[in-house]
Amino acid sequence: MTASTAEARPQPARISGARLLVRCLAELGVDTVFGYPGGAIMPIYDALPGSGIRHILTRHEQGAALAADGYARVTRKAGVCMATSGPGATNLVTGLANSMLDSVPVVAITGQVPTAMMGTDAFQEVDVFGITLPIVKHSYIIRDTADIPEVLAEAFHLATEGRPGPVLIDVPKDVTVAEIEASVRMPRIAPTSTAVPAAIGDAVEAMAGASRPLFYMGGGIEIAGAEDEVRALIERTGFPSVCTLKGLGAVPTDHPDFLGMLGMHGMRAANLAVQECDLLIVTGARFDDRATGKLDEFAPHARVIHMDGDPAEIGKLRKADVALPGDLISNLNALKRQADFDSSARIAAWKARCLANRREHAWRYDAPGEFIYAPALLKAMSERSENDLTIACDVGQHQMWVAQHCRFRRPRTHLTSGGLGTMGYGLPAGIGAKLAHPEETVVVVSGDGSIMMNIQELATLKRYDIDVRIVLLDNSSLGMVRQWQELFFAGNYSEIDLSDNPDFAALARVFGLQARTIERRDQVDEALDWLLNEPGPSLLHVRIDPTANVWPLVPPGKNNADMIQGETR
Amino acid sequence: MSNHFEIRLKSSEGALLRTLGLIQRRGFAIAEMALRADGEGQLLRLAVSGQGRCPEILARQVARLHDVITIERIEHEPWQATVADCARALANLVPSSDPWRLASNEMRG
Repeated sequence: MTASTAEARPQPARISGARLLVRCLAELGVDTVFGYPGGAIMPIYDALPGSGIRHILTRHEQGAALAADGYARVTRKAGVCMATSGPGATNLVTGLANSMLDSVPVVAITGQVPTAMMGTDAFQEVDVFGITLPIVKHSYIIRDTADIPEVLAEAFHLATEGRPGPVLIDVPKDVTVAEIEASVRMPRIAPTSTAVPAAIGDAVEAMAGASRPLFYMGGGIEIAGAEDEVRALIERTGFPSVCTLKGLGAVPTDHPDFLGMLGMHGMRAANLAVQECDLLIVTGARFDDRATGKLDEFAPHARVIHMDGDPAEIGKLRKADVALPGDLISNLNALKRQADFDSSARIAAWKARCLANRREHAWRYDAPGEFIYAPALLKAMSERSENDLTIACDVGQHQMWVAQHCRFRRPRTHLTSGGLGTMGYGLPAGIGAKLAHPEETVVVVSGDGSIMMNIQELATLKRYDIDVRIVLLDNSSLGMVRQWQELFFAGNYSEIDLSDNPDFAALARVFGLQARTIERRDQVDEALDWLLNEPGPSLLHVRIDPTANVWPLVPPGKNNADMIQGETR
Repeated sequence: MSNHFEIRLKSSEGALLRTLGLIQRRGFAIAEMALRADGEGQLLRLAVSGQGRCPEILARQVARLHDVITIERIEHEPWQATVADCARALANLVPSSDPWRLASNEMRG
């Protein structure tokens, strides 16, 4: 072949692995990526500008992973985060574990050293595939550029289908640098079919015959987007309901038949109802130890109908008398279609008892003392506007106060690290939520311990002018640990003192936020008005009683009826 | 008491590690294990004991791994050697010039 004939033949267009990967992300509908660049992932960052995908540069990879988690929770789409090899990848680990424990769809893309250098202890080489095996739903190492479209299509499918979870894609640098023909296309993956199990009839029969039925709702409802169906079934049956920490918002927390959150820091009426019910209709929940207390004594008189999208959860900790694995929406719809019984007379006394308990054990906000009472502040904040806030929590006492006292009428407006309990979750999760839904008012509720875990993300708020409002409840200690040391370690306070905290309002101002500090009850109303009405990222620093505790509490190893109540401060 | 499983795995990267890791994390000890090629994937036979843990739940947890094609509980039976297994075993008896292989055989002997 002569040179002239070679020139005359049109060459197929070629594309680098990095550009192909970014093109695939765009084709999969990804509009936002949270990440942090570095050596091994530089080809992908080179391909990002002009792709139409918005990249949010967090100030730590953990912030990127948790922001992707927050983005995913409010949208039910896969959140995407990226990091380079080595420390970049290991910094994602906590975020991935967080998403795994709470079943959140996240796709993490990590750069890796070139294939030929893998296994040689190269600079910034770490086996992130191996490190993350227990904390991802699935993972890949892409060893051939031509595999990129198929792996990405499958990764996004796996992250979101069935029980969602994080998926890791490790991409060696040579794979992103190599070029292949640009005509390669992504395969389409069909959604998994959803069959309704045969036991629906048994479930309906159990519901029709129950005298003390109760819905026990978990985070699986939000994950499946099944809130309309569960609300319809609750209206149809008239049964009372309780929910887990992650189930808050599945039905409005001010619904007349809703008894509150159950579990360690749940409402007494909710825990009593569980202990007394004769039928527990478990809907997208998994008998988590924080919800059940002593498992052997949980709902001791109840038959159990267990619905869950993940068949492996059914019977894991509590035998199901009627098992309904599979698609929650299909099961709830099938139950509603067949639930043509009227048990209002049979359950009248039970409902009356449940509602009397709710009235008798309602939260009180008349705490003595001079300090700002955090539960009252949070209640006032959440009820300040007709539209619910989206509240992203950190982990600790404030997390429980939010769950107990804030109003949630819509699903996916309460972002909390339920499974892993990740201090530092709130701020990056709030960033992800606000970027996904800019029309929502997003408030991060944090503590003086938790905020410092990812304080660097205040710079992300400022850089992108992300309008997140922060309420920082400052008790100058690691409050939940302090409370447990007070109650269960004879007051031996070990390493919980944070009385040398920085001036948080000044710190926020240094990052470019508006900020205020309050410490008296008469300052609360005006400060909340300022926080919720003044546009732009801001921080309200609230000094509270360093000895305040979360009540009630089910002590470890006790059943949920053995709640203890201490002094409110 | 041991429970016996036969698990068909895809040939995907990390399939074996992911499966074994899950079994151990869920509280089961692996007492016996055999692995062989099976079409384009692998066939894994295991004897595991869980000290009160439920093997049916474990099977469901394994089944939801993307790498797992099927998992079945089986009766305990010795691994059925195939012609290919015998050929591999015979090949191991043939003296080799590979010093690592010699050392390996000597250690076994």
